Amino acid sequence: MLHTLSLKEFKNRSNVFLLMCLFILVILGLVVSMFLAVTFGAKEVTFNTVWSAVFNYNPTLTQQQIIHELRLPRVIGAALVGAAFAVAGALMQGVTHNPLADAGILGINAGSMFVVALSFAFFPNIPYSLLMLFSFIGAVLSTLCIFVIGSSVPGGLTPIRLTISGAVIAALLHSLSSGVAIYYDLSQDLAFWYAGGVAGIKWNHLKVLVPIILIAIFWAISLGRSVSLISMGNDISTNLGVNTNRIRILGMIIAVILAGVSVSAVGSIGFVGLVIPHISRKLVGGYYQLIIPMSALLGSILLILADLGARTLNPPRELAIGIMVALVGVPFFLYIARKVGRNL
Amino acid sequence: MNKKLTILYGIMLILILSACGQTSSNDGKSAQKNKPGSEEPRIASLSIHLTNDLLALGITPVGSVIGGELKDFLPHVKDQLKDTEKLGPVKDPDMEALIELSPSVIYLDKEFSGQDVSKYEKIAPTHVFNLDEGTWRDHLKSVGKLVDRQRQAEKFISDYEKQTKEVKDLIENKLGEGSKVMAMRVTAKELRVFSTKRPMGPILFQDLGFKPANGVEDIDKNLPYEVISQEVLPDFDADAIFVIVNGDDESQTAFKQLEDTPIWKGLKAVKGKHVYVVPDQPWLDYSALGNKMALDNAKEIFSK
Amino acid sequence: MKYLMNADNKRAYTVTMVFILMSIVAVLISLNTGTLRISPLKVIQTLFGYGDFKSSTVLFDYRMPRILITMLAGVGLGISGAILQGLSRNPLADPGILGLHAGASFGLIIFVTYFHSLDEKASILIPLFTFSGGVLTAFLIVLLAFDRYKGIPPIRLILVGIAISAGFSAITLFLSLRLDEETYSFASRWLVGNVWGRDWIHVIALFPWILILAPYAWFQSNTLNALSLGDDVAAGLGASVQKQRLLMLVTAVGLSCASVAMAGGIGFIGLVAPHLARRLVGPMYQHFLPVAGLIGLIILVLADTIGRSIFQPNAIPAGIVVAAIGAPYFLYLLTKTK
Repeated sequence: MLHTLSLKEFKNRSNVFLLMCLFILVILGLVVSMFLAVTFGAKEVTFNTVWSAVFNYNPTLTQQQIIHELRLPRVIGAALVGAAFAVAGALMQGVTHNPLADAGILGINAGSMFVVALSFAFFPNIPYSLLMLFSFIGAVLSTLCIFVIGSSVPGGLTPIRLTISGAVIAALLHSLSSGVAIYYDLSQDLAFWYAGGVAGIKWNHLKVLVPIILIAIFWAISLGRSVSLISMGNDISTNLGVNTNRIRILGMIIAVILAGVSVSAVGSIGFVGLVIPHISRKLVGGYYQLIIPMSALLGSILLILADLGARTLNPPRELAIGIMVALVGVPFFLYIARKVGRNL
Repeated sequence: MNKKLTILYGIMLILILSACGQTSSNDGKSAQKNKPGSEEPRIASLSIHLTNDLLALGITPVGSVIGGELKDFLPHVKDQLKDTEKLGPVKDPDMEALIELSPSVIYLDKEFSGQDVSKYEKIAPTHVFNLDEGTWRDHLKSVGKLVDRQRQAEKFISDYEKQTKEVKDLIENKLGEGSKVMAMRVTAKELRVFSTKRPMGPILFQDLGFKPANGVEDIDKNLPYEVISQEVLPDFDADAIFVIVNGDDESQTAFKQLEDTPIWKGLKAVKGKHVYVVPDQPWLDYSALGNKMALDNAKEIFSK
Repeated sequence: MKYLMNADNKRAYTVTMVFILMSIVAVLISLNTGTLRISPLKVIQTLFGYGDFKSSTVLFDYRMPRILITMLAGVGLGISGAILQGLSRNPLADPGILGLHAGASFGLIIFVTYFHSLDEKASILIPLFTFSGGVLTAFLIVLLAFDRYKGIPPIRLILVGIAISAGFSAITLFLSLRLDEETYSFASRWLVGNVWGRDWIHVIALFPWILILAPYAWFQSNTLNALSLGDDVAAGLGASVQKQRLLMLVTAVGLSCASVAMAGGIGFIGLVAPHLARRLVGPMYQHFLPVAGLIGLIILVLADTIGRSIFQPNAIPAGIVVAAIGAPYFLYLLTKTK
């Protein structure tokens, strides 16, 4: 089975030790950054307090409350959402052959935003789980639009077309959202929502977020091998008996679930899904069974640190986390765009 | 060449025809509206605050701008402005509606539309107020001077001072002397703490004689409020908290969530049951009438 | 061959004429629309100097400058979009996608955030800031897309534009959250394309840009034809490709930045107008460029008229009307053309 891959897999195995080390290192990094994020914030808290708030919670102490009620859910939320955006980006990049794919750039987040704006306007009091569903529906609709438009132009769905049609759809949905917001008085609320932030994440959100995102990520990892085959090109994968279209559709569905759910929780945070999979690919090679978990870990770290930065750079004020990520993401996008442009 | 001419003539013909065709239908309406002003000055106010200062003096302006976000007059004065023409949002007033109104005098707020007074002066004599200077008392007095109701202005102010004393007594009964308070606003995504500046500062810290809670005075005096993190809420150590919750459901939910957190429950003011949820209007309307109504509201709260 | 060219010419000529007619009708409708009702006859009377105080103030001081701004900006955006689509050889390019709008918005936000004290001179400073924002973005995009050997590859131009646009939007969003509500509602309306310039001074500021650059683009139709066919063809036809492309890019940037500075961040006209024009009169720039300008004019004038009349008292910015009507139509067009 899979003769073409065996040689590479052999090589891979010789590096198993290195890879193990790498993963352990990254997991350690994740733990350390979570720890830092819980410890530092607008209010100074001692190490002891953090320790007992996590492992020996006493709900009557204000200091411990701050850790337990505000920082912990926030940090866990950041980690989850970071992982979700990164995995969504990795999947999209894999199944569409598009190194520029990212939920923010492709306009999927804009779809969620639009539907959320509509539900803010017409059903202002809907429960969180329903909002999440709406957000997901919005993401699916805009994804469909983008693909239809991208492939309708003569020449088919190239990475560049996908990116551009995504930008067009995003611009369209964005101005429609603004229209709804202006007409129904939501302007600044929606802007806050859009700017993204993990500050609002509470334990009851996590109850919904944790299972969905974790299941979707594990599902994505299990698809990893097929995705790597697809990413090598259609011919190879069909020769090897992979049902290309099925995997493509599944991959996009998972990606859209991850992006849609995350947008509903924290607003639109772009560029995570772009930057992280690229770094992961550099680290572990072109194997999506490795890229996906690596992306999840690195994505968590990035968002945790970005949120930490957003909270601590100018306390007690908080900066928008989306800006922090964009500060890293834009130069990175330019770098990749240059590389892609060179090959065309 | 001939063709071009034909087209040109065609265009002109259509122009004239379309013009004639519609004439009869519209003429009636434009004639109706221009009634001459009565002896009262027809004041058009291009500031929601000046409108409310006028109302405090018992004058209803014939036209007033509306709150941009609300798309309407402020809710606490809406029923007093039934016959008042809406002149669009304050940042982008509807000039055509203004000219249609033929006001006899126009009041402007320097901050919003003070830069091109000539536009307004063309329609009617115009007074520009700088609402950033002085307090609402000064604004009310200068409006009173213009409409020749100085006495009403003085009376309004002295009534207000009298009432503050009453409310102060009520507060001292309830909270004790020299209690420290903070005022905050809950929006969908932010917690804002008001500074000692208007709109909330003057009424709380001067008129009602509260002491600012720890840290309130550190907020930049040029800003009406500062956004804070929930984490530092306990640091303010306020004896009482005035909370303004935005009208939208998102903010209402956000406040409910905040109320459920142990941090909120642990606050001194919450434990002592001294959290007062007040409506955004009139409390955020820094005008004579707005302050008066806020004071009425405070009286109601503390006499319970 | 020659006969074909003639037929094309004729068609272009008729279509242009029809659109001129439609523009006039649109302008007339717009002149007749407003809070103050003025009968069409009175409009014409007033135009010839026989109006009373009210109608002449309303027409000459309020409506005319605004309509002229929308006319000029519509032409500017339509033509700028047509040029950019040719330069990038991509039918989906337009000033908004390329990030010029994001740059202009950035300029506006910088103004309202940091130069609030200069509000008194806002009518001059806002266009200045937004224009500089747009030009700055264009400069950045060219700088980042420039390759020592290839000049500015069209695809890279777009990709860099999208990235820059995303970056500037992020900063704009961040700063706009710090604004108070009234200022925010002003800024947010501007960002989505509220026709902002209303005074004669704005008309005078915008007029020369359109008057000089639009005809210049038209005279350069052959260059544009060549550039849109590809670098090899362009070089074969004797155009100094990189220099010409840069020159046309500057023209497009000038047109769109000047228009956006006066009319706000109006998207989709640069996308829709050239498309429609190309479908009607074919891909030759000398034919479709004027039509694209006229279509831009009609769309913007009508959108502004609809936005400020139907949704009273809270007027909807023209940019949203354009997006709501233009964008779905554009999507339909795209799925139709194979």
